[in-house]
Amino acid sequence: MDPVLRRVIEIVTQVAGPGRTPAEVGPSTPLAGGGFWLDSMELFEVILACEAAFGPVFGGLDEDAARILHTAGSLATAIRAGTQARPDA
Amino acid sequence: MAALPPLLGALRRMPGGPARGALILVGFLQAFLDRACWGRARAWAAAHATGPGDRRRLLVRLLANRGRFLATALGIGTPDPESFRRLVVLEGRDRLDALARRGGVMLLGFHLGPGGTPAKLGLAGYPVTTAGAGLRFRVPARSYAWVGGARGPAIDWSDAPSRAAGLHRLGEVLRHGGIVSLTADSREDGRLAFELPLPGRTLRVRAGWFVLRRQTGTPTLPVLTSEIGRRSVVTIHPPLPDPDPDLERDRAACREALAPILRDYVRRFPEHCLSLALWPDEETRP
Repeated sequence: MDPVLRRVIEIVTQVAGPGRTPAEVGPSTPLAGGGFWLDSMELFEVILACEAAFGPVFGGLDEDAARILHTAGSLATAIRAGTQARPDA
Repeated sequence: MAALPPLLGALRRMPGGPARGALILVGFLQAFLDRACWGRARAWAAAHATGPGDRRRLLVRLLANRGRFLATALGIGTPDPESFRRLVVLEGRDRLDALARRGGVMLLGFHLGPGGTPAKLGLAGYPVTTAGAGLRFRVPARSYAWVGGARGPAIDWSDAPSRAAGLHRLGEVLRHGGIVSLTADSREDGRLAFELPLPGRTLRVRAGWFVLRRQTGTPTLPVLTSEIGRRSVVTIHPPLPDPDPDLERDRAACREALAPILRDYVRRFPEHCLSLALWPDEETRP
């Protein structure tokens, strides 16, 4: 598994806790309803944890939040794009 | 509610005084015709006034404020920023000035008293970034164009992802030394920070501002606005305690700091407390 996706899943699993982590988790697992069932505060926690792990990768997040925060895979894709767009990349 | 946008558009073309008067009348009649709302208003008046005369007067003032506050927030009756500015009194601005010189500041508002506080602060020279679900109806843009301009940047959110992203954006604004205004008692966010028993009703304080304050360590100033005659008095209260690393102690400290401020406000201005008096319980709100 791609290391960015693996780290994202670790973060999301930690925030959701074992009770809400689906038995099978992959890139298409929704972060909110039907997947990890994260609410807005937990999604915010995930964003902060991802920034702690990958640096400031979420420029313009508020313009495309629904797509970026849809699944573990879409979040990992946004992080990869944000990492590549950084001046120090 | 559907008739409100065209009504506001029509009122905007009327002279200020009659337009405000018409909005007050419509707000009053709408509450009278909505039996559940009327019942809540009467119960609130009974809890905060003694004697039938006082209760009647409080009921009338409470329901009249529905239209008055909406008119004030939208600039109806105050056709330009200068006339609006003349009606605003800012108490405690030295607190905001002192903290804003050092970095980001969060202003914590409530659905109590007249709205439009960020616009009032904007006109007083404080660029305030706001966030929330916005108005529950669309208002013709020209009705409030200058009020919207005075208010400063606004982040609209409508669901969990947009709220999370909005909080992230607000965090960036605070880290860059900006002033952010959030309401503590909005209903679009399900998670509670804590409950605060007040005379007549318990206020459910939401978690968004609380989480952002803990995450950023930003000084947080409660702000309440009252309308006395035509004057809007914006009171900036002393800051809440700095975030405590222990979540439960922090929650208790915020609750204890907010309780006397809000209890005093409810006792002094029961006719201003539209959300506490008139909003249905959350389970039944459409």
